[in-house]
Amino acid sequence: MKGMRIARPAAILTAAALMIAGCSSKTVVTRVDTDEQIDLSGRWNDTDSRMVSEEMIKDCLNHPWLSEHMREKAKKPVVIVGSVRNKSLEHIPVATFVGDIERAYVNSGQVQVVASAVEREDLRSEKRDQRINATEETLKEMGRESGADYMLIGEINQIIDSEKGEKVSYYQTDLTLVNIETNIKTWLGQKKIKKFIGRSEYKP
Amino acid sequence: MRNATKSRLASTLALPKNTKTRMGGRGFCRAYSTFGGNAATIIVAALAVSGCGTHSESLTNVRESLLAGRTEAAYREFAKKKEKSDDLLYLLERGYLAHEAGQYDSSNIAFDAAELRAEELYTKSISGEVAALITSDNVLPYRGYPHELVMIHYYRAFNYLMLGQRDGALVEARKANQRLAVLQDAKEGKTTYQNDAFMQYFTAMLYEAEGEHNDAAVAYRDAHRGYETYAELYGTAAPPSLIADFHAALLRVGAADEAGTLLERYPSLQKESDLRMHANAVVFIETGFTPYLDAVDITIPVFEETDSKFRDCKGCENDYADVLVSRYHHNIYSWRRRDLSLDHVLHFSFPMMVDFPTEAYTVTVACATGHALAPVTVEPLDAIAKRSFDERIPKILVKTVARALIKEFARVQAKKEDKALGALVNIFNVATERADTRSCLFFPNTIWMVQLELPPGRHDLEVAVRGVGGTEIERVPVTLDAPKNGIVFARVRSFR
Repeated sequence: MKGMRIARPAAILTAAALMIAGCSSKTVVTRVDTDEQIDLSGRWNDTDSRMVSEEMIKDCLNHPWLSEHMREKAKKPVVIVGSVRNKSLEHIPVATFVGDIERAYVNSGQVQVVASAVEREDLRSEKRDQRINATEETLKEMGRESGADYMLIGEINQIIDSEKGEKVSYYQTDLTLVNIETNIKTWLGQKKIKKFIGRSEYKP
Repeated sequence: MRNATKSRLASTLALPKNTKTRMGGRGFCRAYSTFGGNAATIIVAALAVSGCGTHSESLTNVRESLLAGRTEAAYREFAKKKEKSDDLLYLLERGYLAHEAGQYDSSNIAFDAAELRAEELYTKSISGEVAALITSDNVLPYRGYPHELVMIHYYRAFNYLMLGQRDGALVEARKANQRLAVLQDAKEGKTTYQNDAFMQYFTAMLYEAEGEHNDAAVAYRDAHRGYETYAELYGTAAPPSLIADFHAALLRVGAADEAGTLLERYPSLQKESDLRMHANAVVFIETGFTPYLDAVDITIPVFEETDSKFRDCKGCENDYADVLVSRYHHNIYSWRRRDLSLDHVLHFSFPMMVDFPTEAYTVTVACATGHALAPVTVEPLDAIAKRSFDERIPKILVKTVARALIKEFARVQAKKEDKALGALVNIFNVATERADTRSCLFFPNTIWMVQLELPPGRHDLEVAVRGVGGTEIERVPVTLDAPKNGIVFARVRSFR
């Protein structure tokens, strides 16, 4: 009987001690499909980047500027993806987003995409190197680059509204396709994403 | 019940000489063998379980490296600690030290993890809160002080500026404004720190540097409002350059009416505003260390009267007190008397904010021409930290008392069942009673700022940190590439 009396407070003490010590955790890694939508923190992620780029480029290619260009020039338009400014409250990897846009354009087969300014510098450097080191048959000439007809520029904005543990995050991506020769804006696209991120105040 | 009353009475009489208050974080880690066998067991066991160091003491070597100007060594020293990716304090300090060591990408990674962790910590664990009530606040995750979380954006903005990613710095500016807006909107747990005037000013200059004039004007307005509160709370008035910047920004966005109102309030503004339009360099100078938390430990041995004359006497408390006073006077070794024996030990521990000695009193910035400028205080982090802590003190003390009551109740119940178990619970109670001394240690005591108008190109400046009486205690060279258009930002850290 006395033993039982001692056992109860001792169990409480042990439980408390365990609480202080904390519990050990084990890292679990599982491979998932790259298209699978996984939201952890509520921030802009790979799904947002892919979804926005694909939908906006699809919208872009379904507008009359493309058929008008084909009719006038009788060839596919050449597009360069310019700067997409991140004006959000998150560090969005814009390079990934630009890459997604270029991929969507190229995979559509309806437009041609030329290299960006930084990439072009690398290519020109390579051609200069070829002039010294490559054979004549394989040498690529300078001054034969394809000039872009249109430039795609844009920005990502974000509005956050929060109260206690709840947060609404609203992203707006605006893209504009500009005719480089005439500066005329030929297409304006907009894609919005709204997310609700809820956190409970207490957990067990 | 009677015995309990007598025990309390005896402890009251014995209290003045037996109360041990620890301040300054040193000299407590020794066994109190003079308490006698039981007391020594309880206290030695307590110290063995709880350890003696405060958070500040555990990082003394890191701080010494910083004081010696060895920032990379400080970061390496800190990195030797066991990585705690879910500890906000660890992430804050790691992010800061990586920044000082020039490892800006690592700093961003740590600070980013800190921000995510701070968000996660909105959800409180009920079991954790209960555990804190029966042990100490140290079992709760560190949630940080609001000003510590705001400072993340200042250092991250500089990380991006140093990496040449000005868009990244702007993201930090927007995040800082958002965090401050949430602070202002908070309805519960409202504190006086609801706006950070310096951070608003810094973000305004970042916006302005990137040509985002509307955002700049809004942030200047918030900074101006913030410094009105700063003047009241911390004695830090708005820097004259802010008024000029704000006025210029209002004119730029076409808010002529508001600019006119500002001009009426500050008649000398026009001249400064014209001057500001050409300033293209801003230098921030950070000095000293923010105050840290130390532990106040109070240990009270509670004695039991073994004198049978009083032990069984009902209503004799006053006589008993008279006898004890005349018997022991100020004899601090009274418990050695055969008629007193230790019943149990009460131990209270709570944090206290302590200034870290700072030598810096004034700062000057000298240009190559020999012309010296006097930066002004823009962020009194020491005062902000102290006020934030002071506002938490009532809650901390209430929790300390509640915890003491719960622990004492558990001890009494355990003792009723078994005396040895009562002693064991007492050991547990004392051992787990530790002050929560966690706070971010390495942030500066004060941030100063000066704006300069420099010809475009590279410039070598010298920042002199001076002590009381103007004695120079440190000189730090700074090299700036002043742009033709825009603003270049630089920061200088003196740990003195």
